[in-house]
Amino acid sequence: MKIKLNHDLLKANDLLAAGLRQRLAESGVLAVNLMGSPGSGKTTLLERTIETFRDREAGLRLVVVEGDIATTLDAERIERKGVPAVQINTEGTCHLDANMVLGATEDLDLAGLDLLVVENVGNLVCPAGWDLGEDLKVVVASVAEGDEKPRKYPRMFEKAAACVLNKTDLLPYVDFNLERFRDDVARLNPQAVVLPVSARTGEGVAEWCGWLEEKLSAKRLTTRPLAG
Amino acid sequence: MLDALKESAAAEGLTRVRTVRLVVGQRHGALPYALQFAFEVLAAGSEGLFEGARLEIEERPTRVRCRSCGCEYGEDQAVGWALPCPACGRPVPEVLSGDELFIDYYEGEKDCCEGEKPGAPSPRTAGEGGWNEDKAESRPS
Repeated sequence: MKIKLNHDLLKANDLLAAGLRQRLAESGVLAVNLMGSPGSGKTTLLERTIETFRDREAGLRLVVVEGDIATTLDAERIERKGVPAVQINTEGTCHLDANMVLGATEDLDLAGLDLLVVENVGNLVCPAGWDLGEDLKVVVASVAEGDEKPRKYPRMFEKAAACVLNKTDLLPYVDFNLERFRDDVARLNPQAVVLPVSARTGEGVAEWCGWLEEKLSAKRLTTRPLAG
Repeated sequence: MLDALKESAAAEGLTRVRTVRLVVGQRHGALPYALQFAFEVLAAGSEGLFEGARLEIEERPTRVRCRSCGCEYGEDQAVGWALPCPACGRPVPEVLSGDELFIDYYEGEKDCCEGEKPGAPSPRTAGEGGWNEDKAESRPS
């Protein structure tokens, strides 16, 4: 007896992600899935982002979900900046899936939030294939990794709304061709914005935060009807 | 995958799964040999439903369509990275196939002592345009 099934193996994840996306939309929360190699500077960028928003947009309500194979080091760094963080330890899994993010966010009061950042497990491969219910995917790459990353890991760059190119303070010391990197990202994903920053010196962080603010405003406009 | 099959087999009243047809797209990133290995290990340890079951993997090649000229081509026809169109050179085409990871169908049996005979058309598959009879390897999707 032959049974036609047509069962997508990632359907379970996509259904959970869709549910989460719906919850986030109802609450008007902008959700960002922050991806990139280990050591590209995702957490440092978040620390600078928190500091910048503290000065620019007082009262921005932000929660960070941290994904790592082990330790609570990143969540501790975020909490030291005064922002609540939830740590997910995947214990070996190389990416986050929607179920993990659902578990990490189920106790959060989403209605009291503006921005949810999910920092994925450091990895340029697998996180690209898993929908977490986010509004935007952002890739953090760093000049120390080399300018050929878009060519070698195209899936990661194909769906990103923005690519933050970190560690620009190291440009004089590494062989990194910024034009080639920009051209390659544009070739893969003409809509993606490339934002060069140095999370260490703070250069470019204002532009990155400005981009995020635009996205926050757009999200508020689409999901929060004006009172009255 | 085994959970989905278990659920479906229970709904269909099947007690034995013989063959599972899985479609894996060339671009997906799931590794057919790893899936095959995992299936063999899990099926052998399942005692019952999947014992002796066979996993057939159809590797579906990447097919794309150029966003400029509409030309359809395969990955092997694109020279260079980001799959440039062989006709007009535009990269990053629309992906038509190659991203799949799904169970197409499976074949199973009921206990012979009860219910219908193995091989008889089930209510589920009957009326699906001769699906059960034509023995096609896979349906055009």
